[in-house]
Amino acid sequence: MDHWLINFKTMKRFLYFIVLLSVMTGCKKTSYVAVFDKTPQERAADQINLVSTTLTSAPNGWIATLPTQAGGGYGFYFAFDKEQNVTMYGDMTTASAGTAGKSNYRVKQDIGTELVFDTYNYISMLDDPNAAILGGASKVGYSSDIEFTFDRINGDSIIFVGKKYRQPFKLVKATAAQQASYTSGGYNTSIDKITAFFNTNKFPYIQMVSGSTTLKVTVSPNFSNTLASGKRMDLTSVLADGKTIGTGATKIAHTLDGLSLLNGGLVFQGITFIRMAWKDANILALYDSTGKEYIINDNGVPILDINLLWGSKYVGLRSEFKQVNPGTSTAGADIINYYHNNLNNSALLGFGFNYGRMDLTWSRPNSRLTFGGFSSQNGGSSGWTTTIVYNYTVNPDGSYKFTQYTAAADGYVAKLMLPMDAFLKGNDVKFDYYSANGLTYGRISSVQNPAIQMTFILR
Amino acid sequence: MKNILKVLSFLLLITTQFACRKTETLNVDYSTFNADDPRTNTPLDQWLKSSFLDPYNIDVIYRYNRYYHGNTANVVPSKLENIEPTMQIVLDGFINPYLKIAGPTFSKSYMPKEWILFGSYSYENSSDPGVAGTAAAGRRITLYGVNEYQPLPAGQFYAWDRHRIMHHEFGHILNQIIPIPVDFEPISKGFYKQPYTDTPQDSARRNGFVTSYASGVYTEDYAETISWLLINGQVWYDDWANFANTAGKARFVQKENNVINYFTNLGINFKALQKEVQQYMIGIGRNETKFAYWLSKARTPLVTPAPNPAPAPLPTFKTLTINTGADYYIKYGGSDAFAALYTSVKNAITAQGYALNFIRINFTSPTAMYVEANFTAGTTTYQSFYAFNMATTVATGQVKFTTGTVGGTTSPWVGNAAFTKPSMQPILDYLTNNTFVADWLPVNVTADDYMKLGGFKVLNSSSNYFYGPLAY
Repeated sequence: MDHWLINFKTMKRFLYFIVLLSVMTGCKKTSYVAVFDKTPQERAADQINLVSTTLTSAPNGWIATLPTQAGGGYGFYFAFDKEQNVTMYGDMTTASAGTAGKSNYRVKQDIGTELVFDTYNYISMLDDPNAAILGGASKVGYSSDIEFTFDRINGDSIIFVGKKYRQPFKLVKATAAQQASYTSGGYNTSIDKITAFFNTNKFPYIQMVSGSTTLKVTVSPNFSNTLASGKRMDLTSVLADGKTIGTGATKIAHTLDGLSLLNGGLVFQGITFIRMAWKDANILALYDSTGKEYIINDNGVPILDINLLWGSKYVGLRSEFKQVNPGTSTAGADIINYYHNNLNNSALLGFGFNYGRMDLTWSRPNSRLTFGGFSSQNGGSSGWTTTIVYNYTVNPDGSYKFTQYTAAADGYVAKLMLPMDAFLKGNDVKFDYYSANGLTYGRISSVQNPAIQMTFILR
Repeated sequence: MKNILKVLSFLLLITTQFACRKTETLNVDYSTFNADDPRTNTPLDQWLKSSFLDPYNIDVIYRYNRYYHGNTANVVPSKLENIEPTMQIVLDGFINPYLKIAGPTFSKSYMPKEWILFGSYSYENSSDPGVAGTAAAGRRITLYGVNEYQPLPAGQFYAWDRHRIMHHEFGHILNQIIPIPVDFEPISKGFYKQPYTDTPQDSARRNGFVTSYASGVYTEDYAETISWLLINGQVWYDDWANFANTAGKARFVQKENNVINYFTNLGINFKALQKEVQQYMIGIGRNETKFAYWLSKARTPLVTPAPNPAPAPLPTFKTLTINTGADYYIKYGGSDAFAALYTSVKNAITAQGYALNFIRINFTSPTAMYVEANFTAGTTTYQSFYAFNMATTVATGQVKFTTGTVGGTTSPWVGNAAFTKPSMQPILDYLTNNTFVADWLPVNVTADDYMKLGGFKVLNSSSNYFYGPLAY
């Protein structure tokens, strides 16, 4: 007790000071003035209510687009009801575009107001880490969201942003006619029609004026779900200077009357294309942000000289395992087959392989071509590549003259590459397209020996 | 006194300090914060309420909430149509066995109060092996992969795998409430190593772990030991242990006993629980529950370094011993028809001047066995051997014996066999003339004896059978 009192005495000054402070502040009135007229929870509730009401009050549902972060873009139709049920269609597969998917949604407070598709539906396929469902990266999917933060309402649109992958999720009110079409298989009809158009018109292009030149711009949509290239479209053209390649690409989503070009549209040579739509029953057109129309025509033959596209549109050429493509001459097939048919010739190589391929890869800035011979003992999952690098010069007639830059290195199949190597070094080599059975290949032929012709997969 | 005055004056000042304070009623309604109301009232919701919430206070949360899986992982929600079948699996193979064996008080107290369901597995990145379930705070189990559900029979693996996860996670839940006994970790001390993915299954098995995952850390080892004992049953566990090296096998036995003790201390008969879970596994048709499956299975002994040539595969069980006078026949009774046959053989051998000790089936491979008559004169014991082929159909459990090739030239195979043949003939004929169904017999064994006794029943004649203890 004494001890405590001694301490108490020594603290007396502090205590008096505290008492003084207390007296000074004891009667202070708080001067908090709210910036907003409502409390945070009231405002949060208001916005949840706004989003919920907006979503459920569209009598004919919503037409939506959503680009994925890692893959292409996707189109949807949604109908929300007040019981937290949502019905949707999506353009991922024939089933998802044709059969209504029913699940739940809810609107909740998060960092902002959040719309979450909280039981599985088509939109979850894009986020599904199980690549067997739709594709996408294994254990990741297409890097897409099922949670969306409310951004704004703009006229007939409501716009959200993906919570994790930050992609714009835009919903526009549908008309009764559009709703009727979505619910009666119209989405698949539309997808099939536009797919058929591009299957029939293999070399589609639009014309575009750039300065004093009219450009023929190729239109290349990809409707597959491939992670790296699917659900995207690009426009490519030789620019006014006659040699530079200009290109623009964006992600696309199917709509009932064509395509929606996402992420703000496809910008090509300063013009922003925002949608593709049917002008009439058979004529398809692109429209830019000003509403200008660009009719899509078929050129019948490839538009751009293949030599201009090396290193930009096309990385190079590939000869797949034991595949001799149409347009390959007998002499050409000998060169290609020598590689593939001897892969398992362990007497020649010292090893046996059950898979392999040849790749020609361009490096235009360096004026070089890399010839890669790949070999694998597990069907291609992994393996070894032998590379030979060539310098090239272009002859006046457009053919190429290759000279060795580095000799065969790495890998195990240098011996199999000898005939091709000899061909490349011993001939002036021309490149052009070759079309057969609905596919376009890249063809290599010799100026000196016209009997040698080989076709490859363009990649 | 002076001091007291000082104290009092100080208190007075404190009081003065608050004297001017205006109190305001803080009118806060927390229900308006973090507004999130995922409630619907569909038949599914009603079923979940009546099956889980009302009886056990278990909240089944099937609507996606990122909070439950963490921000970084990629997880998709569950398919609506898979919720009820999945939770029915939980009810049948998990909650009901505990309810029956551990009782309602235990079940209602310890069953996790939150069940979270997600459609996919949880992956942090493209190289993550994935998470199938988690247990947290002694109160929550998260089950992933609900979208993989399929109806039986295709969905057998799904149902089994859910139980693998749930019994594992519930092991953690129990451990989070009642710690793992301190004598468990030393059993495998020095053999735990992370990452577990670097330990191949065979290495884990050799060293006394039920899975690679168990070899990572003792807490997972405990949960895995509980789970695999329950879901795959005693024969699987013993067979797994028999594959290990001597030290590893001893660890398996110690771990099993440790788990049994842990449950005993919780007031649960672990063996009874194991039998109960096995009844569920029989229902979904798991092979590991079938005697016929183990009869048709052989394993190559795990020896390092692997000898050349590789050792011959060994059948799971070495022997099945029949003796209608033994303790277990007295305890469980048996088939009168077979008892009469056995007695006649025994009497015939007695007439030959010998006492029949037992008849034993020696399994030599999944397709062959020999019947041994073991008999005594004075202090000398004799054997006679009769070879049989054995054809087993796992799906139906049916076994057909046919006379096999004599296995040697020693006296049990030749002289002794010929000597007792007249007496043994009725039982040899009994084996070849009938089609049998292999099963865990008799059907009414206690949990402790479950899967320790096995037998053969004459097809379509349920009162005609024989059985005996199995030895590995």
